[in-house]
Amino acid sequence: MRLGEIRNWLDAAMAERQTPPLFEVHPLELLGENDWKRFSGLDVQVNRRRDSGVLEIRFNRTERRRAVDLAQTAMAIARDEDPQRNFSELRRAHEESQFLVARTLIGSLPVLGPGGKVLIQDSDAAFMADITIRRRRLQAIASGEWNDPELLYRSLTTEFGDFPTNVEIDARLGYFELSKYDDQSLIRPVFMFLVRPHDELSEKGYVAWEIVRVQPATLNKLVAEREGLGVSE
Amino acid sequence: MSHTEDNQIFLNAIRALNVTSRQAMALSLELAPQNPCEFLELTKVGSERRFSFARLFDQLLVRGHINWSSLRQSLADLALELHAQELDRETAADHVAPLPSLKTFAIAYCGEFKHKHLWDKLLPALGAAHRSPTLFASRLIEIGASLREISADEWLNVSPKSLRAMNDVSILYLCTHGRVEKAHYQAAMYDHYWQPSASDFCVKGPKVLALDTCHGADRTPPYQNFWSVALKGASIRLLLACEGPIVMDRLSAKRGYAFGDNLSQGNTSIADAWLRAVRATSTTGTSRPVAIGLGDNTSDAEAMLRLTFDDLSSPQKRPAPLSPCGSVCFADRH
Repeated sequence: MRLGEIRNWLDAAMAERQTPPLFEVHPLELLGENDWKRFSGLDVQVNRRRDSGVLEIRFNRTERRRAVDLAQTAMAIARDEDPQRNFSELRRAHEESQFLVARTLIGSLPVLGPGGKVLIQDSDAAFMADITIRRRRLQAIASGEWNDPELLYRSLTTEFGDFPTNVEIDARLGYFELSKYDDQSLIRPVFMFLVRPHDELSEKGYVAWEIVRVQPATLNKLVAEREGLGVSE
Repeated sequence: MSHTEDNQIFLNAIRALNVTSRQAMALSLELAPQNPCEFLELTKVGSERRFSFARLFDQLLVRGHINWSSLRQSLADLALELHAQELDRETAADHVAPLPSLKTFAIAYCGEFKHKHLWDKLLPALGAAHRSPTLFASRLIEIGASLREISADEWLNVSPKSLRAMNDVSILYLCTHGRVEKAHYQAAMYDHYWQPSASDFCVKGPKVLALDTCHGADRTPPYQNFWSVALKGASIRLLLACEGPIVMDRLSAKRGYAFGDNLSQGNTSIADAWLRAVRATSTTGTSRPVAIGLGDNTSDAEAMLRLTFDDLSSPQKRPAPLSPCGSVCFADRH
């Protein structure tokens, strides 16, 4: 959509539903206690990252183990990390790619960002899975109120308002999860804006670019405004 | 069975245990007939093989045909033979070991632009352009690689030929805007565009070019034609890029760190290190990383997709520049 349409989109997104809750992430030191029990019989090498607590799994490839079985095992492990999530179907990242991706949903909202997914590399050399799914505490935190739509809109017009008709914005509401390299203590709803030049301009030879802006969708007095968003802008 | 035959059976069984020269010598000095598994630290031997050796050893003892003094002499000879083999292996390992002087890289980035054309006003500043290359550098320095050159913004110069420091650099990492202009790749510099050409890369230049820009490469014939001309006879053997746009924000810029981190795992190919890094850090999940191996023939190009950072730093395994005559072949992974 064009920049001018964002304000109405924000109003509609907020009117459609109640404020989604926030979730604390399970503390890192409590993870991994039962890992050895879970993985002892699976013939896999498992690494639970110390920075994020995310699981990296390398499968030992043998002729008897089909890729589809390994993928199912990876998905089962992923579901076990956060049983309350829904998973999309595991599919190729794009045609002929050696990567398979399954994204997740919390409630009815998609999990956006570099995390919140199972990423599998299926190549001759390796069958590896990154399970960037953080385990949430069961008790949700009430969100408080929606972020101010006018302020959100202005943050975009300030940055991209010089040529409002020349940019295209893909706006989404969802939860936000960081990459496997990031520590994250809170999973919260966000508005994510992917900004790029309008298609017609790219066809005319203008430089293509893609910039992402992430804003908290809701505010809570007990939580810092950008808590859980890492170094995102 | 004769003495000689049983001695030979024993020796063959000892060889099968992969003993070292030191262990063979210790065994030759052992006076009492004793199962070697009981006093040698045979760490590389599984319990199954130890068991079968013990059974064979017991059978030989019962038969009583072993000539112990002759066997000790044979074991001493075996120790000398193994020692010679160990020295050969050490020499060979030294020859192919990574050389610190070749574990080198350079980074370049542009976050500010001052182009004259009106439409270039749509070229937004890249506030995070420094992050990918510098995070990449920080991780590589941690694993003992040397940073040879940093080039940024108005001082950005990516034509490796004009920079003496680029000689023998293994990887050049560039982060800026990129575009396709009439099927030619161009990277945005501070006040102009750079279009790579064969004259930019001398034979001693970088082996791997990581283009952390939009439209760095794709697998369509016109684009491959461009790169085959631009890199003919050049040093570049592996091109790491993204098909279409690459998302630029502070979070996605962690791909630089992730790339370096993946490279630190010695057995990971450079191609896989790049593909995984981009996929694992893309904020939108829409970036489509690609690794393109270049060679004088197809198998040569495919071999580049298996290249590791240690290979790049090894004088024996470091790939030669592309031939200046003949066409450039491509192999890709994505």
